[in-house]
Amino acid sequence: MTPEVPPIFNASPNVMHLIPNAEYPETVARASATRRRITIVVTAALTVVAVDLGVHRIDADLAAYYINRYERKLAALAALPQKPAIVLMGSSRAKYGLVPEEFQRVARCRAFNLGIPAAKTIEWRLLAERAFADYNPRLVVLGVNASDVRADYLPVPAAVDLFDWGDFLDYGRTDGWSSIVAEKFLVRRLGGAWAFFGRRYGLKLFMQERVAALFPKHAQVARERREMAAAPCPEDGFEHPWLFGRNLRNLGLALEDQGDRVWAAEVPPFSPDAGALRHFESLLTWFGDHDIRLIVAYLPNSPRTERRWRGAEPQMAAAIEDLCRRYDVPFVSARETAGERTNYDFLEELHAGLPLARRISERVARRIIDARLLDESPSIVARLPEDEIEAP
Amino acid sequence: MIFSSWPFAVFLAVVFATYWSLPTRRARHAFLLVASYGFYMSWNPALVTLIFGSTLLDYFIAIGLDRNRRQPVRRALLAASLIGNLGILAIFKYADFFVLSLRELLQSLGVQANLSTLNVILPVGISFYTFQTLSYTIDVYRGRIAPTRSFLDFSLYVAFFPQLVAGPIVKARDFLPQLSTIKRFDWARIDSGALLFLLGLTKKVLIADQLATLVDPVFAEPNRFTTPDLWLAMFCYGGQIYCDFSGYTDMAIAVARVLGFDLRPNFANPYLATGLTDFWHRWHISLSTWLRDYLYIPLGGSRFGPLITYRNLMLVMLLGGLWHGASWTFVIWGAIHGSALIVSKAYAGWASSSASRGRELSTSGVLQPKLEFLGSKFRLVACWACTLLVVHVAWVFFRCQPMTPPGALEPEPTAAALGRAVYFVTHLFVPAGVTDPVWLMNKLPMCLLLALLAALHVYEEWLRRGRRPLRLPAPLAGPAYAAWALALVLFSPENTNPFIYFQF
Repeated sequence: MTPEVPPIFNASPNVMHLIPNAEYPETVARASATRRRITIVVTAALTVVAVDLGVHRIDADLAAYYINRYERKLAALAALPQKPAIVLMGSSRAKYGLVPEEFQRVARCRAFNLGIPAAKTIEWRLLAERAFADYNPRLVVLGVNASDVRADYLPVPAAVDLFDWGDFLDYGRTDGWSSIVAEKFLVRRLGGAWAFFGRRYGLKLFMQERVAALFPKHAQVARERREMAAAPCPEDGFEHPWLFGRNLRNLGLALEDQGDRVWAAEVPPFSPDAGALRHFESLLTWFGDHDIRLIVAYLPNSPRTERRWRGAEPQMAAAIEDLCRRYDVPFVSARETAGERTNYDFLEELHAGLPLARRISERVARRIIDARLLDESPSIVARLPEDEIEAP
Repeated sequence: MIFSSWPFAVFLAVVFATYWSLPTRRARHAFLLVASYGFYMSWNPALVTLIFGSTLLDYFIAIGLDRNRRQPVRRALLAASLIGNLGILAIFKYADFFVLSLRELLQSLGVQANLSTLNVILPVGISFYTFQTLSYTIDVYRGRIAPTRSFLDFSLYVAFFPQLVAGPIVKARDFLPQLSTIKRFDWARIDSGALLFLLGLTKKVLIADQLATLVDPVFAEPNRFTTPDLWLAMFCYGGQIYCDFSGYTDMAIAVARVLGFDLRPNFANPYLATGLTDFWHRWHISLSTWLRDYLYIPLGGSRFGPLITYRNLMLVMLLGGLWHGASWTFVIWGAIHGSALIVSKAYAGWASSSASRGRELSTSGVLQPKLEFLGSKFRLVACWACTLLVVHVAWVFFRCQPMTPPGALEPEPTAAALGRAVYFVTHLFVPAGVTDPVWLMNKLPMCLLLALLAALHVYEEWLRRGRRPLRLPAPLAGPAYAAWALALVLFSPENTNPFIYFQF
């Protein structure tokens, strides 16, 4: 018997018709509908399981597309036969703005760049806990900027890559519950149990690379991503794009071409009660507790950004400096690190070009030497055998 | 909390389980009300007071209207509701817009005025729930419905979370009767609701969000793209906004459906319309019927001759444009639709007068009668193509909103956004740039998404005309649904994109 579809008031008729088996119970025998429902649920579940097993089989291929920035640098640091005496930490500004080679030249000891894009105060502490679990460097140089203590910061990178359950609960207790952080953490943690979901990004790129004939651009993106993930981390951890001949244009040239249309960083909101400042304080405490000597260097913005941020940046820099003073941590201001600079010295608004990065690094290194920060032995010496740490 | 996000999935699961486990109607409604307020508070807890205020105002005014038979008092009560609701809308949505517009105007006249803006947050969904409460009060005033005595039921009608933030705009006479009976759990509703949700999610995640990434750069800087790029981006935006909004509506109807409620449809394959009037019978139906019932007809509709009709049409479309957002580009979008409606009405009037003089009048569309020298199928296609073009050119103005320049606190002047829109539309017809020989190859994803949308449209229309739907055997349907759901997981963007209509 052909089931009669009743007049539908309650949903778009076209949509309801589109759905197979959307008939009403009075038109289809209830038992038959139940049988069909059970068959659909069971076959759908079997399909999901089969696909998941298939994804498991190509797991190694899919893993090739993932870059865990934290693990990559931590692994590079751990693999060094001789541990660096100076570790340079911070966000992408430190990644591009602190050149280990300059520290090595001036201070004559091995340096390693542990700067990680998008990492801020909470990530730095978690990173430090892992990086310095087995040894203490003689000095950590922390490159900071006003944007690292912005009031609205949510530690999404930490939630995705660094938090364990304890960290997640601690964060909720101290900073309040954020649905975004919770979502990222839970999806990452719980989603990992479902291979298709956990590897969906890799799977998409894997498929993209295999349809190059139809989608050449997408295939290229996937290939580049795989190559980037496979590239080894340099021994000193420093990866400025200009070293590899990438992104060679600078902010000044971009402004000449495009004027006001050039991307501009959002002005960071400031609050003296910001969670990021609290985490900065706990980071200073952590370094103090572990007897790791620390120097904080303010990494400056481009003149264009400095102009736009003048309402917020000085207060934020002062707050950072004030905390450093309270914890007796040497602070190198923007004036000292960079001196005169122009928009041509920057990759874009925020990141230093290579010559400026070298200048900044040299100045910070000289300050370290002048202040004799490497001369005094920390109270807790390195926990690794001495021959694994290069002497100053 | 966006429908296509994981937190909403968790929220819905909790609401669904709790709602159906509660034994009484009142307990279920009270729980749904709390859940709806919670849902809204996930955006901004403070702004829920506006919904509550609006609910209180209209609840008591409706009761007052029912008790008072004296016309002046009733009029005063209606005016109080209109002033209260539209006042809130004016302050939160339009105050800054008018201040900025006045400042721009004065600056263009060389007067430096120090007018400061209120800088208030735009409450999500304010235009939707304001229209909803207004329709209730006006219907009570007109005697079309009796006011409800249950504050709980009325509060739920205003705040019912599936349609709270982006419609469809539900009329009290459709919703309140549904609250009078206790719902019975029905697997068939769950089945069809789940599939409808999946369909809505597909439109949003698989089509709208993917198209957005391809379209946004073109609308931001149209001068960097070639004419074929502009054409493609224009149609892609049409696809994006349809899939975004109708996807949301499908999900809203589906969520209401699994909770035992029925909402009216809001779309009916709008891009198959063969005239502007036809388009407005198919696009955002709940808004177009609201505007018809509470604005166009009270203004006189088409009862007082062509000129008054044209005025009413234009006025309704201008206000419809302004309803979407506080920007002159929305007003221009409304003006384009108003003008096109006037032209098609005028043409229809002229054609029918010709027909009355003995010429044959076609029955299938306003633009068709004078084109009888063409074959009937070709005529239909020509009308469809013209409608599609007008609608999509109007979308360009809809999409080119004033952007807030990097680091600035206030949006750019309207003239800048208008300049982009005019450049865009002009260069649809005046060639711009040199087209890459492998242009189409690089645009294949866009073309495939548009083809998917077109296929969906055609299939839906085919079914609307009474054809039997595709019905797979159960052992094949299961894997097909699983593959469908997995494709959504695979292609969903890392970050959830808000729905376009949430900003209205």
